[in-house]
Amino acid sequence: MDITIQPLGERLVSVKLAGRLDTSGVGSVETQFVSSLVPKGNNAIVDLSDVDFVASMGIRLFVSTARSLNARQAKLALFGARGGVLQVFEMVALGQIIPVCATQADALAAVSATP
Amino acid sequence: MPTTPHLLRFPATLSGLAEAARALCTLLDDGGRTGPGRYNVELAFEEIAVNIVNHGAATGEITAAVVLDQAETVLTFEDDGVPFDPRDQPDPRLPTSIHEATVGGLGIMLVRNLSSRMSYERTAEGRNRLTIAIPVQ
Repeated sequence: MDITIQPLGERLVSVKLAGRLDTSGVGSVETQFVSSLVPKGNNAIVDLSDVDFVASMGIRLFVSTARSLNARQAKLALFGARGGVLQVFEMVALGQIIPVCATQADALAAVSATP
Repeated sequence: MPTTPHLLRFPATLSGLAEAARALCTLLDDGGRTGPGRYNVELAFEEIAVNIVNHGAATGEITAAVVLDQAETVLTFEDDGVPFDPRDQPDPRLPTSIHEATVGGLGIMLVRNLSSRMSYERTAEGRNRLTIAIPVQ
């Protein structure tokens, strides 16, 4: 599991995840993922186009991070999910609580929108 | 004609699970399994095995028999942990906002949604035996 974090601007960070977001994959990126976003209350867009597997542990990572960000008036949006990953998001209705976007532009718009 | 099961055995630890997940992928590759049916097998395996590892208090090895039939893949898990029938677990109420979002119970719900049947028994030897069938398509 690889994670690349890139600042995009004032309180805005881009995160690219690549690989499998199963239990061991989540374990290998969780600390870096959370610590780069939550303490500073950064808005985040998360590129999932190179993630080919997600299990409930990955959903938990996104939901708990989005909740922590929400408490700091920041947002997280996902984009680029495909295939089975998108199907899992739909099964748990993830889009109800976190923006699940098709493109990077949509994700940027989602985190920039005022609540 | 029923196929011979492939048996995966692994310690009830997260590293044991990671290794078994890789072995499962090799089996599915060799069996030519692709697409959504393939994904669902990997997902069911992950969710059930992580549940046993994290909550089952199993002391011995977990075994998972994998049968690649023409129309379905059948996973049969056995472990010596506390009795647990996942069919008894209610689905979590899906949240409608970030404020009410909880993070538990999703794994079992996913397995229920993607499987065509699930059966459970506590064996005479005091082991959990859980069988899950996942359609190939």
